[in-house]
Amino acid sequence: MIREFAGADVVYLLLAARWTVALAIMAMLGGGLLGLVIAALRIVPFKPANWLAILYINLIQGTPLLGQLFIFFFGLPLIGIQVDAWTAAAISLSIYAAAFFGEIWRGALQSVSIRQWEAGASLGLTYGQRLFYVVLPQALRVAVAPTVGFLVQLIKNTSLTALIGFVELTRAGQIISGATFAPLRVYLVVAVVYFVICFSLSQMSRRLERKLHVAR
Amino acid sequence: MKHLTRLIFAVLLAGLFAVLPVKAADLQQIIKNGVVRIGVPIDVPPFGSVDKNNEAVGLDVDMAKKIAEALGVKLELQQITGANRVPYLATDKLDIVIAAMGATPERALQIAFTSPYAALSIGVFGPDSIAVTKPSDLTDQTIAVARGTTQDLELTKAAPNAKVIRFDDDATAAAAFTSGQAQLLATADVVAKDMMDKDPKLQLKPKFILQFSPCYIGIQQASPELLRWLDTYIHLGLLDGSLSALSEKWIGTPLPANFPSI
Repeated sequence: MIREFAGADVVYLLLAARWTVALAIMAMLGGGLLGLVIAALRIVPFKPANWLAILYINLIQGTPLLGQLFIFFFGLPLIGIQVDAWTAAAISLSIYAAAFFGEIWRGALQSVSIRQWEAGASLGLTYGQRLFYVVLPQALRVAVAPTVGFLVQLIKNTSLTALIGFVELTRAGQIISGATFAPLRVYLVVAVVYFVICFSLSQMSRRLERKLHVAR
Repeated sequence: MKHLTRLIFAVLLAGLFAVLPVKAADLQQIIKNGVVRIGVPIDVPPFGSVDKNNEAVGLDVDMAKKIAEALGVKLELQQITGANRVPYLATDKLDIVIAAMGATPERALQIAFTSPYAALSIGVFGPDSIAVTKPSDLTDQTIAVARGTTQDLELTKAAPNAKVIRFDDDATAAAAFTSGQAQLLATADVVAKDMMDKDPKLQLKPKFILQFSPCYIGIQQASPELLRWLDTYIHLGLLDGSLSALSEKWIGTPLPANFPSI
């Protein structure tokens, strides 16, 4: 009944890691787009928009991702909306990531000195022109490190989708550990795979940072 | 913290279920759809695990296949965990859950249980140096067990004052024992035997056996026809000895002669 932890199991874990990566990429794209909207709502000089963004950020940052996944997957069917696991994971991870991206990017935008805005205004640039041509390029530099830092967190957080039926890296580890009773070795392999994914991301971020700092 | 949030959402969800009953897929609906959706564990050997080719195998998996065959419909197998098996049923994402589940009156408020289809001989195992022969001897020894399993329920019932540490699954509980984090291990006797076969140095001597812990199939409430059909199916399986043969194949012992029914 209990079998050995073999090479085929490592392959199984690597295949399951594709889900981890796919979920992270999707959360990055969905969360990135929505996060841009949140960051914009957060800084535009229009109070109700600011309040809306603050409410969203506090609501999402203040509730656990596990609970959000639960609500979207098991809660929506109760009001008659059937969602599959992929949709539920896509929606909740994007919404979750957007709340953090929104705050990170708001911080990056506001880190650019107010003088830059004023300088832009004195040249007769519109609000949009000042944002896109003056402030954004400078904010981008500041934003890279915390954005990637959060992405690394997000990759590890995708393991929570096991609750709604995904067999991603962590869940695959649980399954193999259940069949082999060798949790130490299995989770060590799982940890190494996570490290490889996250470390390569950090390296890419470092390279990007260097590239963006070229002007200095 | 994690537990607190889990609890909060369990309460929230229980509230939702209470106000918004989901229309259950009863027997006729399943036959009309031509598909039965069954949830099985794949991290609880010998009931469900993955083999070398990563196919789901085990007693519960065989049981699911036989039920689909007897119903004459296609089987849609879904792997489940201890945490999500009840929500899956309650939100109509599955018709049937076969997961070595023990029945409790609390659980029976949310889902319906059929007659038992298998039984687990559960024991507390440990080295010779620990002198424990009955549940009441358990005082300050720590016992590792997989959370929410039949063995967890039985042990908690037999020895309410024991120091039980609960882990996510059998493998992690076993690892807690082998690494010395727990002094005793509560598990199915077949698992303990297998572990000793693999590692002869391991001292997993039976301290006492909590004989006979039946496992039940769970279905959505408000599907009386499916419940009746499954009970009939299990009853016939007990009569012709096929369920006993299934137990022998996976657990190593046939079912006892006076196996109970609901």
